[in-house]
Amino acid sequence: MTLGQAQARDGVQGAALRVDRVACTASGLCAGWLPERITLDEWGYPVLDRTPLTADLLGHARRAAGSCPVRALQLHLRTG
Amino acid sequence: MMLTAPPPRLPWPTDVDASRLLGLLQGADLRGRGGAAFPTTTKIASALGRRPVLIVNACDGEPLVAKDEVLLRLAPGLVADGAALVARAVGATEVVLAVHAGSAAQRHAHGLVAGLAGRWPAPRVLAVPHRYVASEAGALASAARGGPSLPFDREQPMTAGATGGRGSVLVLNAETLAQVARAWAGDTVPTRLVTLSGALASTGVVETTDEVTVADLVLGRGGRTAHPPRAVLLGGYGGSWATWDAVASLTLAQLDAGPGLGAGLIHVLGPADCPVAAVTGISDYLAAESAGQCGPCMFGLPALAGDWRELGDGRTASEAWQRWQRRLPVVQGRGACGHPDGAVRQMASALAAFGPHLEQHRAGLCDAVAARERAAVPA
Repeated sequence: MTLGQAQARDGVQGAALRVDRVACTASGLCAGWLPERITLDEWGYPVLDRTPLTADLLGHARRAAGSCPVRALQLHLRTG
Repeated sequence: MMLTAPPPRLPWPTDVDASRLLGLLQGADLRGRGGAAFPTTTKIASALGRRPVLIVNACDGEPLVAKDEVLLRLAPGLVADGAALVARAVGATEVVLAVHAGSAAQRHAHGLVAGLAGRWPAPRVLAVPHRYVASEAGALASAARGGPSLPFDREQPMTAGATGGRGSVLVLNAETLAQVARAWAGDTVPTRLVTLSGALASTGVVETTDEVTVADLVLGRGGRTAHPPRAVLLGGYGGSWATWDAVASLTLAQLDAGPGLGAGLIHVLGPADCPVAAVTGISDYLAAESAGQCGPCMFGLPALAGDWRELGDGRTASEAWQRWQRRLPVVQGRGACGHPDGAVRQMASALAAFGPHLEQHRAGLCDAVAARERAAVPA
């Protein structure tokens, strides 16, 4: 199994989404980009699923963070 | 003891050995008395070498709690010594004594700080608005650096310094610091300040030990009641309800292992106090006191309070019940500060404690009303 396959199955070490609750304005765009990990509550605010991000979701996760109009959603990629 | 004995006059240490201080606090198993019961040694250790701003939280942020004010009035020297010790140990650059604007504590605070020349680095009083969240640790840190009295979202402990170039901030409760001074002075009998409130002959702040039972403390110091209390709210508005029968025989140390004593509140409901009304009042208050910054808190707390009102009202109880059950876990843990978590804790514990009473309300009945009517007629 290649590293890529392992990451697709087990999650990418150190990759995590975080939302700044104060900054978030409930645009809801993030859930459109990453429904696998982000759902919206009844008021439109994101609920994050803490299941590790797999490699095949990283691109969408990056776009989800990029789509946030107030940069409240951040994708952290910690190494080491 | 803190309130009844004269404070120990410490020989003024010019240099505080941090490892000795932490060892003493570890030995005393001191945990924060502001509400969260976080291990004090862990918090202080995380600030070592970071030259933090030390904030002494004497706000009595829980509306029914009065211990910080009592401490500043009766034992200001202990708070002063505790803060001085910690400030030396961590190399604090300034010490900020935080109180609510216009409170009795604010008057004591100005007197205390005026006499502290040379004992605290750069001492000053910070008066914050009369809002529930204004005394939250992050809100105090924000106000201390001239920002709004509002919590902010933080990725790491404030002692580590936050993102955006803010420096390290160490926030400790006034009673916690008084306990630090006691430990340093070799006074090893663990005590705590408890505010007794509600349906008692005598209410107010008492100092007690961990080994006292809730019944002995409440009935012994609060005055024996004609009928046993119905229930207690432990810790504060963001604390936990429990029926009297469930906790009367427990010691305070045993409470620590369960619901906890939070900021040291024991608020008593008597037989004539309707718990549904009490929970409604607190839930509405907490909803109104949201800082209005985080959506799940700003919208979730009023929704939950409304659901509870309907549950108590009885007519549409089953739909309200389903909404409420669905919303509680959604709101939990989704604020920048712990405000929504406290509100959820209070409401969820109310359900566990008052389920049978809610059933009465669904049938249009309330035994608290009966108890009040009984008191009004001759035997």
